[in-house]
Amino acid sequence: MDSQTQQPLYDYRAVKMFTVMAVVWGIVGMSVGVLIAAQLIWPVLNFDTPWLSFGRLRPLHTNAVIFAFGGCALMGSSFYVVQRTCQARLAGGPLIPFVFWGWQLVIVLAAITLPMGYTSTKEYAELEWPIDILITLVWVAYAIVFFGTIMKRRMSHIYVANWFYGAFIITVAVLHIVNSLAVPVSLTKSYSIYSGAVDAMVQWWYGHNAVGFYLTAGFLGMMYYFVPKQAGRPVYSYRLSIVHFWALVSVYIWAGPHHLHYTALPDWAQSLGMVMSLILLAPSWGGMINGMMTLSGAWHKLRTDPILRFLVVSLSFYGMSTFEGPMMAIKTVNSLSHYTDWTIGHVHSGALGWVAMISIGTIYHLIPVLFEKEKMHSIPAINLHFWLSTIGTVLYIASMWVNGIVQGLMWRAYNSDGSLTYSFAESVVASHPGYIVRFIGGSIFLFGMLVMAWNVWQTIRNGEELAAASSPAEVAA
Amino acid sequence: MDQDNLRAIATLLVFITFISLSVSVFRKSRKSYFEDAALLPFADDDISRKRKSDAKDVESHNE
Repeated sequence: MDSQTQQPLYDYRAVKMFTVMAVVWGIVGMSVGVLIAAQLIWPVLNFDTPWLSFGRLRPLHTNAVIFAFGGCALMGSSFYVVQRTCQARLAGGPLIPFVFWGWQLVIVLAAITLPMGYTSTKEYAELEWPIDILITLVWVAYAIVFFGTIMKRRMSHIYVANWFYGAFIITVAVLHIVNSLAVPVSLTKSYSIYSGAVDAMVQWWYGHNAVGFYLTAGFLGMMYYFVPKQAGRPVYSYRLSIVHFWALVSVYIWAGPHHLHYTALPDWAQSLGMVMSLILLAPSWGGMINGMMTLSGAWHKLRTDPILRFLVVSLSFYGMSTFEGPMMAIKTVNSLSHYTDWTIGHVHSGALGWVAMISIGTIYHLIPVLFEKEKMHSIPAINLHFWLSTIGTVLYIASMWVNGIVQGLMWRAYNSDGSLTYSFAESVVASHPGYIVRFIGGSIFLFGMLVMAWNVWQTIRNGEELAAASSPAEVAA
Repeated sequence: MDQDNLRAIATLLVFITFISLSVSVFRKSRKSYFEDAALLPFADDDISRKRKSDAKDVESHNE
């Protein structure tokens, strides 16, 4: 590539707003998570108020961290990556601010309607039909901006990160529309067009592919740009990344039935879901190894660069949870783990360890670039944040493993006369210490987010301005 | 029986697709094409904020 070519004027306005809002919504969503974790230890914390009750705040927490925090991180980073790897200015004109403000409106509407109890009861798709329509409009605009920018690219090849972002955008559109099909009976109430086992299967086809394409493919797009960029070297094997892409997208779509083991879903569908989940280990680890090996020969960079450490440790959590997932999808393991806190631990190993940590690394990389600063205000604060995140995540996962296995064993224990050994309440009592450890772990993670917010604020307000482009400045980001 | 044949053919097709994808991607003649593609994140370094020293850094790791 000719280094003297004219720089295309990148449009970073939406990227800036999305990146800052990712920090804000991350804190909001994780605070709600810490609150409901505390409610499980001290039930009095629901204050006998319906809109503060666990059942209403839990979907608020999941929606806020997935769609508000994760969504802003994905949309912002994808608008950045697609411009830089296509060397083209963002397409779509007025659609770009519409994507940002429309998405913020969706988040605010969710924050209002979910505590009020308006819900379609579909997990991770609780929002009622008028909000679903707004999501669809914003998403279509998002797709037009993203793919419009790809069409303007200056080279023939489309960089692999954009493939992953593109798969994320297309598949989530399909999932959202199919799963949310409903018959409205009033402005705030609708009934799904599906029923019975079909409803369950559609729900978990959506649910697991939200994991596969939203929380995995989207963030892998982030990984394939920001890990090489932060490490200052190209990805370990670009050819592996292409096999990784096609294997991942063609296998993930089948894994949903593992959420419905031992239910009314036909046995063959359950077994199919289990086998496909096991096969999924291969592409998942292929991608993880590809990301990690990018550092091969440059591991020393991890000692000095806490941003790179965030990105690489997120990959190790990704490897851990994509090993745990297929194991839990095995029917015999699932008979122990399902409905227990093990599932919650598994989700957070992915959500805190992988999704949040790769997003945090990305945000630390982006903030100085977007706001034209030398580097983040405080590198030691990033290091502190790294350790807070890691310790918080480990405490969270470990406590939920213990709780999950205890619950699973207690629920299945029976006496010689066939009666159950333990009542459900006894398993709740046994879970109490684990809930306390989980609350502590979550609080530590949240505290790290506050450290990041302070650091981001200081960088934007007081950070050292970037020296003129000609001077060889030392840039951490 | 018809359905089972269909399933067998579908499995076989997916398998063949995967093998041919892998072979076509890992062909020797395509090596340099993909090596260039891997450098795309660094292609606009010089024209924005990054310096020559950093660009050199990228290349030295890519031998």
